[in-house]
Amino acid sequence: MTSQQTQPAQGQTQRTGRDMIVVEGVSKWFDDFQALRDVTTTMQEQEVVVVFGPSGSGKSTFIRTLNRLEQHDAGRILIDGIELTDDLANLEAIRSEVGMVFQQFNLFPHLTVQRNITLAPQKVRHLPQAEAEELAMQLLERVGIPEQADKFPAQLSGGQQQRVAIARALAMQPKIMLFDEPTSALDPEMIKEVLDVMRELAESGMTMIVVTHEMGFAREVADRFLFFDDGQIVEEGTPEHFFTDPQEDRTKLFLSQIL
Amino acid sequence: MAAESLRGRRLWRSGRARRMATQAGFSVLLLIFLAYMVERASHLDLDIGFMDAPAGFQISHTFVFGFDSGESRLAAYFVAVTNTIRLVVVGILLATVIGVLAGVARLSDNWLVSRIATVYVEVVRNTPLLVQIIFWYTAVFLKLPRIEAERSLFDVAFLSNRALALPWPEPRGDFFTAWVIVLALALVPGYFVRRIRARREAETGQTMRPNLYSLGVVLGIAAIGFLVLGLPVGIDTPTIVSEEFTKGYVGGLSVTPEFAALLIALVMYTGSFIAEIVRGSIQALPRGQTEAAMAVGLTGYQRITLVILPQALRSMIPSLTNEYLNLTKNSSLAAAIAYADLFQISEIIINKAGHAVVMFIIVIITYQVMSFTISAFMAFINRRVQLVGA
Amino acid sequence: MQAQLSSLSGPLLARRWVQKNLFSNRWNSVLTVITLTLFAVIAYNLLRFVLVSAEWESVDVNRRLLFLATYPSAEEWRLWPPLWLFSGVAGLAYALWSRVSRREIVILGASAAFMFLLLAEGSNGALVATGTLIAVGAYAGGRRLRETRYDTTARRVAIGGGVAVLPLALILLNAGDGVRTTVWGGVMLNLTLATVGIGFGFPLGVMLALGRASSLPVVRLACAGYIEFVRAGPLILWLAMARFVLPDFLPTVGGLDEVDLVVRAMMVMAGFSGAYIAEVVRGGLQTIPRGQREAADAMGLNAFQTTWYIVLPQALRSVIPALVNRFVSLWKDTSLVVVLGFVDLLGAARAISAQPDFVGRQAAALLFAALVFWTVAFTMSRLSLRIERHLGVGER
Repeated sequence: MTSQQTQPAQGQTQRTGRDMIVVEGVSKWFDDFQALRDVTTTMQEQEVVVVFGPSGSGKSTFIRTLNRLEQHDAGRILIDGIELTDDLANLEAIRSEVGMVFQQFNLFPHLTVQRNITLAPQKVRHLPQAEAEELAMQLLERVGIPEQADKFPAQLSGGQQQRVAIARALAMQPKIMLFDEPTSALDPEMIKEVLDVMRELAESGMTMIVVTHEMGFAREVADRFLFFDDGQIVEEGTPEHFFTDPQEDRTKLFLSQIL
Repeated sequence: MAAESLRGRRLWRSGRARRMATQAGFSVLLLIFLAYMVERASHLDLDIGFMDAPAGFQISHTFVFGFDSGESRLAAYFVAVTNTIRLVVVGILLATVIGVLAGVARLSDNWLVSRIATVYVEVVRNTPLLVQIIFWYTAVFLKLPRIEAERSLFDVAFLSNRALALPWPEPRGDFFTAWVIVLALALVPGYFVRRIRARREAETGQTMRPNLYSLGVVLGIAAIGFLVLGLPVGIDTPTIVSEEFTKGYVGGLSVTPEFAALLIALVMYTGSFIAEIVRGSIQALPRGQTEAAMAVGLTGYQRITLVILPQALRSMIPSLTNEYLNLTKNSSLAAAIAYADLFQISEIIINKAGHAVVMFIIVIITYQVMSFTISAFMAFINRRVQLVGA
Repeated sequence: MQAQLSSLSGPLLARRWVQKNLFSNRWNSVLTVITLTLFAVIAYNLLRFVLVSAEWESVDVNRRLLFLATYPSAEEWRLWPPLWLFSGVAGLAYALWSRVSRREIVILGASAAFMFLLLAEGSNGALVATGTLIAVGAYAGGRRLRETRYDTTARRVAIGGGVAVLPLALILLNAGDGVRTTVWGGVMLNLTLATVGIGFGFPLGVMLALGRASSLPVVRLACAGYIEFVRAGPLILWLAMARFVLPDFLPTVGGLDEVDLVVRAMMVMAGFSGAYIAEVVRGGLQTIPRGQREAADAMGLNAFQTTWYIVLPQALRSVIPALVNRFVSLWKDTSLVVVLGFVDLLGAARAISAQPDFVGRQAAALLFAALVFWTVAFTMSRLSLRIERHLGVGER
């Protein structure tokens, strides 16, 4: 386990209590297979929620519906009061409010690190180039790799690439950050550097939803856990609840396997 | 009013509505274009009846079927199609042989061989096919001596600018069919000899040469049958006949300079592309394959025929198919030196009768049918090869 | 081993080399002897032809025919600026994108310049020399700028210049009284046809490929239909269509119905190469992982931006060699216009045999035409092998 020095569940003390994400009865099918079954939950501003569960449980699909990389087939999703529908203008608003970090980084290999970060602010937010570059340097500073700005993604280590991906998502100044298994594709020695960046982000009050199996990190940072299985939220509660007193058999079984 | 404009905006903002609108707009443009084309086409005479009229021209190259100018244009077109098929089939076979040889040669550890193969590929591949066809035709075949001053090889093969005449086997006597049957039947004992010897080789580990023995059996039976049935196949040698105004060859196999030039150019050109495919797929094999083959003590020849080529062949088939289709389409360049392929004949028909649109549609369909046949055949081979490999 | 070999004296080293590379075993020796014989026969005949029997005079006196055919001398000034621009762009592009060794560039550059010097006569020689100097200068400049902070600017200049060649040529050819296309000919015609074919065929091909990969069924079907239809027939058939059929289908407005055969041939070239380029680009589009689009979506880029900034640059870069191969094919295919009766390079070479002085003696001219076609094609295909495919840096 990493150091427990920082205050646990720091977000709780500062939270404003405003609903940031409202998910009501959301279902999703891939052909005959139902990936999400009537999922309902609410996430508040500055809350850090960790989602975990066995593979194929729908946890990835769940967070991908939150910025409409996947469309939900039933139910309602409200992001900061805006409903996710087929409406392109709404979608545009939501996409720039929700940042996403992928398991495979998905950096653009033909662009330099800096250009990866400045592209969206310039093209979507119409920031002048100088400002966008200034912003990129600040963010690279924040994730600890300002010296890599002019390199190409393929020249960086996996951990560095993922940190660039985080900086890239932050460049749109999102209110919410989604992390889809951000450390699963990394070599063990690089996991910590990425988690450190995420921890700093959580402490700064960012609303975060993280799919991860790094339970040490999760316990330390999260306000709330969601346990997914079979497309449903099987159990939710504080980290302490999960580590000391899980209720459901499936939760117990899964926790015993990964801890 | 306000509500209406709001709904209008909503609709415009809906992703689905936008997709539908884009599609609808595109469809309308497409339909306008197609309607325009149809309208234009409706002014043309699209009746196919002109193909039934007598051709009114001779075809200089015929091969299985003869042709007379009194026959219909459709018949002329059919003869032209057989000419194209002849060119394509022979061309594909020879181009494959040349291509595989050159591709393997480029990777040879014999410096001279690999250099010459490289020069061949780089020179031929980067020169227009049409230039090569015209070069072979005008600078080589038409430069051959005239028929009166022909070059002959022991008086059985002749080379002149009229034709390339070679001795060719020809059925003789009444027992040719009987001999073919004997030949077919000989395959049965041949098959069993191969199987038995192969099994014994596998069991005992001794070298039993199953292929060699089975070939010996088949050839032996064929030879005995050949003698017993009174030599049912003879070699027909060409002879020159002089008629009042023309001279020509009778008997044997005579190939026109047009066909020879086209075939050589097509074969060399396609062969250079096939060579690159062969080289590419051999180089794409993991180095471990060659090393493993060396480690178990196979000779260079065995390495290529037993280990490398069978594997490379599998990855080669799609690109090979592509080259065969290219050769088929390239055979239309025959028109440039007046070889009576389907394209040249269709141009003649257009010049005589018009109806260009209908004629070209027929030509496209013909090429499409040929391409489809080749693709289907290659897909069949591909399945076989993949099955064996699986 | 290397050290051992180098310590041997010259003749012994040569013997070793011969033994190792030509006579390593019995089979190899046989092969060497056979190839050597074959090589000797071909080389003898070729040399005899080139040195003795070929009538190079037929090429010499017909240089203008091969170069420009019936293009009027008074209008030649229109050709040089685009050619110079092209030389400059070529030199710059070579310096910036390729990794050609110095030896190779000298050989290729010299043969290209030689080719044009052979074709040019009189004052044109000086103009060709100017073009060569521009190319060399641009190469030297590009070499110096490469990987400095002007690298990107230089690359932009090269791309911009390359894009400008075609419009510049078209403007100059039509400015003032203009030159009627019917008098175009020689190598110039081949170059023009190829440039137009690439210049219009490439964007068309990219659009068709994107259309074929579209999620809208109507667009997808229409693009796939066009591509397959065009690929079904040989180019010579489409060129014949341009002669026999196209006039019936061109709209009558704006004088389009009476466009001359050269322009119609250009339309066919562009439409034909577009279909083939589309298939190459489609292969490139398929190499783009799904995650790239998703990341762009998640950042809020719209469909156009995603295609323009993320998908296309990567897709095109991954198929550069195949694309250049298409361009080489197109260049070779320009020779097919002889079937339309044009006097292009091949047409000019053939026409020589009809001249009273050289009746039936066209072998030398044909060989020369082949050499010109070959030099350009070989240069292009060499270039494609050496181009940086992944912006280089990551894999160096």
